[in-house]
Amino acid sequence: MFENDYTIVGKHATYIKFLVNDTKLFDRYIDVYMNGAIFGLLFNRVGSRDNTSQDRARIYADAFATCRDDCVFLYRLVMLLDETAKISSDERIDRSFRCDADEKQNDKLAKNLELFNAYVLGGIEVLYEKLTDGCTTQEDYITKAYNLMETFSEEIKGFPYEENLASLING
Amino acid sequence: MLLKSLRLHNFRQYKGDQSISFSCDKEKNVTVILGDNTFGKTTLLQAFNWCFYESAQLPNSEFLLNFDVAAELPEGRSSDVEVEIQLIHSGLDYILTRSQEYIKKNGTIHPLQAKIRVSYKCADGQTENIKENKIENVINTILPQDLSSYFFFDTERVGAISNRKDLAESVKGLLGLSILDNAIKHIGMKSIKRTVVGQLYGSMDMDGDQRATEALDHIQDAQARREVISTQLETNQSELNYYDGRKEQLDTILRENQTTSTLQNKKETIERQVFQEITAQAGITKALLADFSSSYMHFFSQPLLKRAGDFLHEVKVDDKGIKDLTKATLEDIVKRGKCICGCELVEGSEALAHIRAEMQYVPPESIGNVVRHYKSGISSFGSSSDRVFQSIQTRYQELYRAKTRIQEWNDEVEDISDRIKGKETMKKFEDELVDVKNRLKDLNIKKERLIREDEAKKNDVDRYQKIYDGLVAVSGKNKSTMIYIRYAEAVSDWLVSTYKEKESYIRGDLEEKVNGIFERMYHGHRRVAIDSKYQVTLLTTISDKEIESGESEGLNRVKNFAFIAGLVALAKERIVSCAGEQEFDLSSEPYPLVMDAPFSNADETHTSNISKVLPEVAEQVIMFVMQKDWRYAEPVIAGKIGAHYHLEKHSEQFSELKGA
Repeated sequence: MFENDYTIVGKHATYIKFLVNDTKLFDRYIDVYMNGAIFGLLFNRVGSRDNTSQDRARIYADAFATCRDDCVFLYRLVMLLDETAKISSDERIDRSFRCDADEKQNDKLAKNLELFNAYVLGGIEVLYEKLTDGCTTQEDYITKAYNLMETFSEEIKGFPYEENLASLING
Repeated sequence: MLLKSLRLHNFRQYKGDQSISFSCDKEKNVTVILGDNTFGKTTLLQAFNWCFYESAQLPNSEFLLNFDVAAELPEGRSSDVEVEIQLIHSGLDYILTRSQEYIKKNGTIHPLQAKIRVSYKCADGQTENIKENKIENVINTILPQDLSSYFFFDTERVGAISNRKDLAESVKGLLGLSILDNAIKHIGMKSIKRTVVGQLYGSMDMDGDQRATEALDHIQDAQARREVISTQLETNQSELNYYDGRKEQLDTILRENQTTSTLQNKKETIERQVFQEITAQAGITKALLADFSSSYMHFFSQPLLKRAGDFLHEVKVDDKGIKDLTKATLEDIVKRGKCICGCELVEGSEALAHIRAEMQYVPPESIGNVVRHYKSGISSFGSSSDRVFQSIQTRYQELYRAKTRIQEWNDEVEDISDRIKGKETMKKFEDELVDVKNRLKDLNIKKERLIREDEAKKNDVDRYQKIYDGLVAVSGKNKSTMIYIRYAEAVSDWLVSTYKEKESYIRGDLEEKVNGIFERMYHGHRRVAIDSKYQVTLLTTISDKEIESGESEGLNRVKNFAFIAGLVALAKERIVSCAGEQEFDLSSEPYPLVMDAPFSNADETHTSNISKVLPEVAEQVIMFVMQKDWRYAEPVIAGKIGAHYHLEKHSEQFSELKGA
């Protein structure tokens, strides 16, 4: 898990490049990748591999090596919180903590990773939308990024997340 | 020279004071003193010699004091012998007085050193004494001693004058050539310092010209430099004027645009601040972006972490296993077939099923530890979120404020730009003013330097001018001196040529004169020859050949008379020098003939001839004549007698002069 290169293609490749190279809000592709997991979860958004363009963005194994703990952490988080599959709590625990340790469950692990990456791609879409919409300058990107944080911060302080977060962010 | 008088005092037989006044009349130019032998004629003649030359050709000539006086001289007392001659020479009255003191000691009378005094009467009537050391010279100028025996002619001692002495210089002197010679020598030449030309050369400042040239060089150099300085000063002044004017213009512009200038400065200050702020902003932005990149994920994961934590708490996965119990322990128990509680563990038994279920919740099958670890991960994953957000917030706010400030400043800059729009930037003028001030400073320094240098050069010019003027005065003097020298040399050349010309003729002239006179005196066929020493010989022509003829006493006397008469006659003639059309009289001095017994041994005819000729050729004739000879002479000469004396002999020791 997270030991090999991972290539993102199509629009997600374009987004990830833009977010790194143009907005400069993220240093590396892997930063966008990991944030994608968070934002996919937050917005319950999963994406699928896009083949509409030939654009490609590769995250190298080296990068995964340096961020392996965080990636594993995020993987378990996704596995714990994903509600798309209607499974019991024990099964959710099992896919979060056992599949990656039990070689007998490699098939399951592959599916889990697919799910994880689906959240990543969905999250990349969200990030691209939230952080670049209507922006032309770097100042715009920063303001956008900051405003998103500020709003989110007020949200999580004043209101129960479950009830208000999505609407507040969207609003 | 003409003799005016002779005064004798105790001179030989002329006891007491006795004197003769000679005739200086041009017509009656003969003075006759008659006296027979031993009356004292020769003594009178020698009195002239003694007075002039301290020499008397007399027997016992070292004792001149009158014997009577000497005989009467008391012991220890002295008495003087004195001869005084008054004469006229070159238009001046001279008095020559020679005296000698005789003192009686121990019954013997000794003569002391004779003394001579010469004085002359100046044009203003004052009498001037001639200095003692000049006296001999003056006397020889008046009458050269070499020729004295011709002028004070002792006929009876004629042998004394035919001593073959070289008379050339004396004759030349007498005939005026000495004057030329003296003049030539006086003018002299450069190499002889005491001469006129020598002194003139000596008075010239030869170094002066060199120094004057140097001084002139200095003056010219300094003047040339002053001209350059003057040009430089003009240029300097015009530059100063230009920059002064420009400075005034700039001051006016800057004064009038002071506000603009202030605003300009303010604008620049703000622009600098904006630049600094933008730089700072870039730093903040960079930091902010770094914050975003590193903490965005953690910040936004907060609600997710909470949900995960809640879920895990709910399922309590981590609490199911017995602490420190492992799957290996349980497998050992199953392998033993009997639980620690004593129950048999056989296939199908409930107890074995419980043990096997328990195996799933103990290590390594257990996930409790992993979950526990994950839980702690959840709490740490989002732990820095607040702090990171605060940091981002601060940075963002700072960025915002910076942006606001930049915006405000830019607005202000824009506002200022609007206000000073169209007005020239004052900076340009301020820079130019600084430049102009520097140039003015430099120009003023240069001006002062040039003025100082000019002053120094002016002083140089003045100083060297003074030196030059002084030296040029010297140089002017030198110039004058050179002119004087040329004059002197020209005069000298003229005199030399005259001298040479006259010298070459003089002997011939004299010879001609002497022969002319000789022929008038002598009634034979002889002629006189004068050699280069001005000695006279008689020649007789035999068979067309002139041979030196023997001389009788009488003939010899005539020859000598002729010679001296010729000399006197020639001396009387003017030596005239011509310079262009002008003639200059160099000499015209008359001479007397003083003759003792001129007619002795002469026959009647000779006496008559001589008496006729002498007063004609000589200006003055003084004769001491014996009574017997006077008979033949008197008829011829009577008309020429201007003064007549005769001698009375009272004793051997006393003769007296008596006027006729």
